[in-house]
Amino acid sequence: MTAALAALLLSLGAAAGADEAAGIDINKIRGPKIRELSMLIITNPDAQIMAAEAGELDVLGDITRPSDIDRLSGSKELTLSLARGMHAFFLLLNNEAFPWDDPVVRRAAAMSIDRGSIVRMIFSGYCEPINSWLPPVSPWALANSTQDIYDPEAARKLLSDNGYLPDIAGRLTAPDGRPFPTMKILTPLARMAPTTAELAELIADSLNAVGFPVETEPMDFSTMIARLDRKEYMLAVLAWSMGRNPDSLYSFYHSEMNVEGGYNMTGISDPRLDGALKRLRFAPDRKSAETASEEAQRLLLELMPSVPVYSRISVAAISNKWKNIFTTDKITADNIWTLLTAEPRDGKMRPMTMLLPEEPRNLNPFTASSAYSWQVLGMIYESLLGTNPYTLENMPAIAESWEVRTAGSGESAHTELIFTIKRGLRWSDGSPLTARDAAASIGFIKENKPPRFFDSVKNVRSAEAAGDHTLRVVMNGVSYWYLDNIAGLPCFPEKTLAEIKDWQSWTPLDEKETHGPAGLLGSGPFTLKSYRAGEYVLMERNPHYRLLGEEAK
Amino acid sequence: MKDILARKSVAAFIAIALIGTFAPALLPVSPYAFSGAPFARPVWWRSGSLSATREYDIKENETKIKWESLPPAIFSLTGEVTAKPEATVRIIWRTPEKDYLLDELNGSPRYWINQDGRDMIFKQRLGLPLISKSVDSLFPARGGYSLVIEGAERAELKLSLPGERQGLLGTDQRGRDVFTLLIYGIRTSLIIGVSATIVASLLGMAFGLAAGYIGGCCDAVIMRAVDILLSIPTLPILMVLAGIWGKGLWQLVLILSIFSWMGTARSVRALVLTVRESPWVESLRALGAGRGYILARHLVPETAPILLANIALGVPGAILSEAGLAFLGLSDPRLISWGRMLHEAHSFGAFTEGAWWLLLPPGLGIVTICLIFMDIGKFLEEKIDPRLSGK
Amino acid sequence: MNGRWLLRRILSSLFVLAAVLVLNFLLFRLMPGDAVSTIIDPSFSPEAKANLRALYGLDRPLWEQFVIYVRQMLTFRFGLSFLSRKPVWDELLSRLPVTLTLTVSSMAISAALGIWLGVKAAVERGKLAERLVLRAGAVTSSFPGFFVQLVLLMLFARALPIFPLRGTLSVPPPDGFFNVLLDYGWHMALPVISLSLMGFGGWALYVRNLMVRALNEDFALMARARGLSRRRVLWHAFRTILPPILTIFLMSIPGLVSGAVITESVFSLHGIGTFLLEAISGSDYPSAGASFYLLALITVSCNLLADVAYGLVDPRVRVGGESR
Repeated sequence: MTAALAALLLSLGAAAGADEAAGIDINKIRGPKIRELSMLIITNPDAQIMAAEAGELDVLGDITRPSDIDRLSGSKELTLSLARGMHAFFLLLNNEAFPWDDPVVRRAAAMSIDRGSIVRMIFSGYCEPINSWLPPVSPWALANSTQDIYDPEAARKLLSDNGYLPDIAGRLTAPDGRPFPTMKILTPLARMAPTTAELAELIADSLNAVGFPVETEPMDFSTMIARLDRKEYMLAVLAWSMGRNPDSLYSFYHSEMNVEGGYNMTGISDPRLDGALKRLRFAPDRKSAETASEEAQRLLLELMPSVPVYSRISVAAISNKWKNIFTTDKITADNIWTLLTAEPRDGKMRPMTMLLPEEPRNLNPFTASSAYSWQVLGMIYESLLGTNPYTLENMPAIAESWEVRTAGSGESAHTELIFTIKRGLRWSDGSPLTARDAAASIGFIKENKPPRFFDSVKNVRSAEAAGDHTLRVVMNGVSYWYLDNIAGLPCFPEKTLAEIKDWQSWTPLDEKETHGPAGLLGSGPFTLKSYRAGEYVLMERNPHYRLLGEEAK
Repeated sequence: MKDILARKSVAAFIAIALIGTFAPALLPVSPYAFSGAPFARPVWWRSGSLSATREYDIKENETKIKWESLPPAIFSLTGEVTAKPEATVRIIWRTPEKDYLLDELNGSPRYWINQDGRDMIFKQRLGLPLISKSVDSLFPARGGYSLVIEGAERAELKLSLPGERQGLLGTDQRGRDVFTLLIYGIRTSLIIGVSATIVASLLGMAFGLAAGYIGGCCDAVIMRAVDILLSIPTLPILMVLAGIWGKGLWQLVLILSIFSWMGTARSVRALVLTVRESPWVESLRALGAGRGYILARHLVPETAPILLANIALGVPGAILSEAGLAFLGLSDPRLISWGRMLHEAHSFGAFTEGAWWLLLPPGLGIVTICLIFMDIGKFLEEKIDPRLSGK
Repeated sequence: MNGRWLLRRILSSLFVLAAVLVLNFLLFRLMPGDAVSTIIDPSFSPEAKANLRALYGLDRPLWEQFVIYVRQMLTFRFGLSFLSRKPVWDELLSRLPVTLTLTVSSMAISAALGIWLGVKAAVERGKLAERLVLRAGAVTSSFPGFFVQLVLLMLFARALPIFPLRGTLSVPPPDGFFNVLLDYGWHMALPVISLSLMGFGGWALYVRNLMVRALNEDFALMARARGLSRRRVLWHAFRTILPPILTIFLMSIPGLVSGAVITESVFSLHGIGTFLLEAISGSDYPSAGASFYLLALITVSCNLLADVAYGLVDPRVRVGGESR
């Protein structure tokens, strides 16, 4: 069995495709070089691929169908890049019900799933088996996060050592003689998750081979979630985007979240895990957060409340008509840095075309919730801090430096965040960007509680500007994650916020608004030029962007 | 009605029904099984340089392979190798251009080999680009290849090379056999089409008779219900109901029949109204015949031909509705149906691959069955109303 | 035409509309889960979900939601969509042009073609022309729409790329009104052609049957016997079948939108159909409710119009009771 146990440890960096820009010092990047960016809304995946092949699309991100990846890899016009993604697929077990109330059984189930062949059959190999509750790409993930623990022999042995023996028909029975009930894997329908139903079939086959009596049951996504919420299930498959921070583990596995509407869908409740997750969520600093994160992940490996199956690999294609493409082993070429550095290979400047795979529908930053709206809005608005593309750690953006400290002691201990705003920043209309704008943004969000930002600001006690360049945010209670919560909020100009009467019905695109389409006044690399529903979004270079080279200004 | 058996469409229907009932049991592969490479063309497709599926049992230390076509779709090597623990086992793939070291093993008496050209770890070990088809490098040209196993005592390996051509009608995006899926699809289409229409027609007849014969309040209630159901957009409501009740075979039958009895009810009611007032029925009533007697003896037989024609003509509608739902991705993925096959062709890249063999068989299947039923229906209708016939 | 009948007809239409209104509300609430419960995002606490539910008005008792819903429907102020947080009206209006172009033009083409062929077939009874029309009608109307569309797409956008694969406009859009119009037409050609192709058969068969009956009616036989010109007889017969044609025309309007759902998703068009699909699968009550209500409104008024028109055009219809 040695071969089957061999850990699949990929180091993708060495083999990543377009690495012309690899090793570039991100602090020296100046851009955007392009003046216009047109984002084509193409919802049909076939049309997306054919547009890329026809040269109508320069940037095509998030290619998911393996046949498309194989196909585009043969194209001379395109270069593909790949990176480990944040998206992962889990088998959820109802930890409150027999037989999943025993961690040994859960562990054996985790060892019974043939991840390798699932990845081969459904994704032609373009996925990574995982054994981790954080994406392997996250700086917080444990070292062996991509180990394939498939070993049916060992699973059988583990079960029989603990008294779980198969009966004559091969069905497992508990030590007290109870046979395992026939269990249904709930799976969402094709419309929501095209490959999930087939995946569930393969998982069921794997589990049946070891003696777990399992069948699949496809259903509507909302029906399925409703049943998970009420714990009316035995097994379910679900995919979600994990996020780079381990803080999310609290939501999924702390017993406090085992309530209706909470994300602890497995119903795990373990005092040790609770303790570790509590320490993780309320860690005062990076060091203690690291210790707690490691402890929590080890406990998860031991308790196996859900079974991680695989994590997606993101693949992006970019046209060879462009040079200076930026990619690292952690992000694919369709990133904001590429939009800053890319230049046409033939020197003739023209708009770059990029895929927008769904209608953005709403461009009001307070109510827009879809990833596609934010694919557009994320180019217009910036946050206090950005993400380093090499390490996925925080890096300066609007703020050039930051500090997390704990003030007070005992019951009144709380976190304070001090950001130093860069000097000389401007909004896209040329007016200066100061700490007061950032403070006003936090204040506005705290006051109006838009759902998307609700959790980020609910613990803010106050946000004030001390002069033009210092922002002090005082939080209630202590947590290292407050930094990420606050640093990730988009910054709006104070004057725009002052004019918004009702944040819900605010339509930044309304021609009659004083700011025109520039009601979307931001400090990001691009501004909105025009949007035609169902067809395209045109973006224009922000003439006052902070990284714009001197010659472009 | 004897001539009905002479009608070609009836014979065709019987033949298809028989195939749909018995053929699945005779087919060698399960419709759910991955039987080959994804998007493989039909085996009879004339492009000679596309590879067909080949498999080799490897027992010797060197197996020679002559390769005269384009690369296969998949390279997969599985099995068991035994060797002395201190020996080093090397598995080498020798191409006309280059040797690839597939595996190097030592320190154990027995090794399980499970190599697949699609795995990223495989590509990485061989130094191939991670985003690429490794078979293009493993089979660079026509000529002699060999698989060499060094240092083993005994090898029992299987090298399988699923090709770009497979099966009577090729394979779909998962490598399932399209011909098998097509045959299994007959059953779904027929069951849903026929039973939904029968249920709907019976419902329609019952309500139509009740409304027409009893009249009054009953008539008003039924006719308002008909109006209401006719005012709800069909496809969207089917989607909502499928969400509430589930999407299994029988749920679909139920949902479809609930939304297709109204037409029958209306025509049956209209017929009953005319028959009820006819002198013949009036005289029966005067002679003291009971309601049940009149219904069973005169009204039901009068409406029966309409019902038959309605059933035959309604089947295509039900089949098309099921196909539409499945096409929108709203059916049970385990339920193999032609609509579902078209859905998968549309959403899983048949267009970029130009995979016409995923599109034409299920589509033409639906068309054929619909035409057969339309023909039977037309035939029955002409029997009832001879003015419509061409003669 | 008598006033009491019309009043009764209108009242019963209103009753149907009210029933559909109630059904719409109940049906969507019967579906398990709601727009909020399906968010799987660890950074969304139960508190944040409750906040969102309150924003959507889902935390209120069902009867209160019902009152709000009825008020919205009756005043045609449909509120904000759950999914996009934009006014439902804005969303509908932005999608209307595509759906209208699609349905109106395909309807017009298929009706015109179908009526012409149907009359032709009836006139040429027993000849090749009739057989061809009958065959073509039966074949085209038994094709599943999306299959025809997929095949057309495969042929004319993939194998022979003369039509675009998606959308309604090239990017960048051409300059000048005329060029934009041309571009729009080029993009809409395949969807419209495919819908007309599938629609004309039904029309042809229907018109042919009506025409055959009309030509066999006593007055037509008599007119022919009296030696009226063929053209005159035909015209007379055609006039008698106008009411049923008008009726079926009005009655087929509601079905067009259902057809648009599939057509728009095959050709990735930004229309009402795809909106409806998204609204239903996303439990977007305001959007789905509003679209269902508008559709029912269209259906009911088309049926009413059909009845009234039938009575107006054809004086033979006695409208003492229901005319069915």
